[in-house]
Amino acid sequence: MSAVRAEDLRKHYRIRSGRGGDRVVHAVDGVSFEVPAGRTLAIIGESGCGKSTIARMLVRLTEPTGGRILVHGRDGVDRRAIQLVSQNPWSALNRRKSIRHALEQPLAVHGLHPGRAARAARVRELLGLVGLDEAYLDRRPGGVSGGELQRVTVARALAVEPKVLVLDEPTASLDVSVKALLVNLLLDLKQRLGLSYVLITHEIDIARHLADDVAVMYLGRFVETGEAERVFDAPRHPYTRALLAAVPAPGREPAEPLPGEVPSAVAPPPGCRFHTRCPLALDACARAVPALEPVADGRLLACLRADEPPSPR
Amino acid sequence: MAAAPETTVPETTVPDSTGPDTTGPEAAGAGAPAPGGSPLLSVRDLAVAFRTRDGEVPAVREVSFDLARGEILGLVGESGSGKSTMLTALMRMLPRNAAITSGRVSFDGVELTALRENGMRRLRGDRIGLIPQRPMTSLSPATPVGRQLRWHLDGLDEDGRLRELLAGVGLGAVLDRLDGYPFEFSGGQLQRLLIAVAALGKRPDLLLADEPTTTLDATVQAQVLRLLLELRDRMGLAMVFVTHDLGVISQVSDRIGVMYAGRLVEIAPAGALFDAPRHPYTRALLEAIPGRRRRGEPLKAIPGTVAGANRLPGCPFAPRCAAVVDRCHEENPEVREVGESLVRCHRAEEDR
Ligand SMILES: Nc1ncnc2c1ncn2[C@@H]1O[C@H](COP(=O)(O)OP(=O)(O)OP(=O)(O)O)[C@@H](O)[C@H]1O
Ligand code: SF4
Ligand SMILES: [Mg+2]
Repeated sequence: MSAVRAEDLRKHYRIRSGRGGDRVVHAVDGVSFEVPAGRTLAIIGESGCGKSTIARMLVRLTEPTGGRILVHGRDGVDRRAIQLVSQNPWSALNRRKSIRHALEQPLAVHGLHPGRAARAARVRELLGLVGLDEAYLDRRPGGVSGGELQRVTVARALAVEPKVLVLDEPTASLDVSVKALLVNLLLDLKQRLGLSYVLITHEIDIARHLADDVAVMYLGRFVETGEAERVFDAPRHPYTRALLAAVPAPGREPAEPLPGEVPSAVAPPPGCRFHTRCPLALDACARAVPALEPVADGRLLACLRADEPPSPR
Repeated sequence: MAAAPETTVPETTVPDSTGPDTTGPEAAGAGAPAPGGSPLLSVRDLAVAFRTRDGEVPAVREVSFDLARGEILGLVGESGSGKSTMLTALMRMLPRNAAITSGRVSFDGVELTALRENGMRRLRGDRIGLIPQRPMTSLSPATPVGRQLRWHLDGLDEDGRLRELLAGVGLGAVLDRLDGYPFEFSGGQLQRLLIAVAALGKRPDLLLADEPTTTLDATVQAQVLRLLLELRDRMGLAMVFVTHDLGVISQVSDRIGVMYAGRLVEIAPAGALFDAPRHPYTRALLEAIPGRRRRGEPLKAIPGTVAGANRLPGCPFAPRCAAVVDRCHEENPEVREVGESLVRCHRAEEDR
């Protein structure tokens, strides 16, 4: 059974507008995926393309406009089974409350480890899991570094013994060494607790290091999904290729950026949503919507020119 | 000790052309002179401290460097090493509980530490731009984004100009949503709005950019970096660019400075820093990036933490350093010149 299964997930935000009536932002527009137990799916893609909206729907912070989410085969809301570690540890925790409070609160909400002694023991255990000592318990979020705080948010997510963690940009804006520590912590916890991860990140090197599978998203839709190693080594969709080529690395010349800009999610282009910027686009791409379909090596690709031999990068 | 910002010194007017080099003769040896001509920005022995319950905590110490017109200095370093504090000190926008405790900062011949607040305000608006580290917190949540943009860009209220600014950072798509509130935009979109304001709005000479692209994906980041490099080429914009992304820093910087515990521990031309890192902290940093390991293997993090490094008598990196010797615990290393690099390490000259 898969840890998470999303079927035709959609989220449309209606924006009230003074003139010209309401507008609808198509944040997520028919996305399906599956995370087998014990695996990590990374979702990568354009800023603002809907990645964080998927994260929020998975943990039911946002109600989907359409589609279904199954966690360990179960439909309906099970807030314990799937937990979010969000992008910004500062806003995730209450500034005025101690770290002890942050860790005790989910236990209290779910009635876990009742009794003061049992609860205190669980809190110590959680801190231990993420490699922090008890001295942190009485500090407030303002008094610890970003890397330490991100560990606290991981500990808090683990408090209710979830099966799945949704990691929304867990390492963004951490320094290189702290990032490495957090990556190591995530690898270790997954092993020890048998977790599955949905990792949402724009840091391609982090996705590459942690993911078993990857989904590439552009303007609310997946354009390519597959085994991480294959997709990263030989990207097929023109957007995936552009994205990977744009990753800066020491000693590599900056890539030619994609022409044009990300179209509005209020009025996404017809046909293939990427056609306005795609170097391979044909006239047909502006009319027909390419379906996400299997190609030879088991990956799924949404491109009318999927048959083109992949050009070497 | 130099004048603290509060001191009353007759207000200096801002010259339009390159001012005389007021940094004095000792400038040449101590800092890291910018290549060619008199520098646009010259920082000497800058120190900044926070007043906390446990007394005064130094956040920036003995930092010196020069920046030429059109030059880009990248800054990397441990979280909490003082990068943001230094940028806000240069802008004289430190939080209330922080102050410049010593040092001099001269911008185009004007001594900023001695400038009155209204003179500083003028410089900030017109000639020095800041892209702050957390864009979300520098926008008001209850005001439509478009109205906030117009506040920042006062005098630039024609729609054509706004269109041009937003297109410059790849944001033409949100033009029809400017009556929306900040929460209706993604972090990357808000960050680009602030880049547009700081870099394009008033056409500054100096841009202080604190992790300007951390929330952006690779393709949008490439677009923004290209825009910044173009501004440098076209208008001689100089930049101090803070980032934790070694790939980004390698692509934008002419020189790179590495900070640890408030000190600039190494500063070198970008190529030299990657080819021949001199400081043990710089080396450890380069080894910690994921690209050097196989998938799923643990990464090589730097052991220990920076905690307490400010109070040590010797080298602040000594407790975590792979090359530490006895002397490091006793004596704080002075700046040494090794090849093209300036390094604060007792063992900088050794080939290791
Ligand atoms: N408001 C404050 N009050 C007290 N100390 C502070 C305050 N802000 C920052 N500091 C301290 O000043 C030092 C420098 O912090 P700073 O934010 O400049 O680091 P940084 O290099 O920008 O880190 P990062 O990479 O995490 O952004 C740190 O020790 C930090 O804890
Ligand atoms: S001075 Fe000593 S402790 Fe400091 S970085 Fe150099 S070798 Fe390491
Ligand atoms: Mg900072």
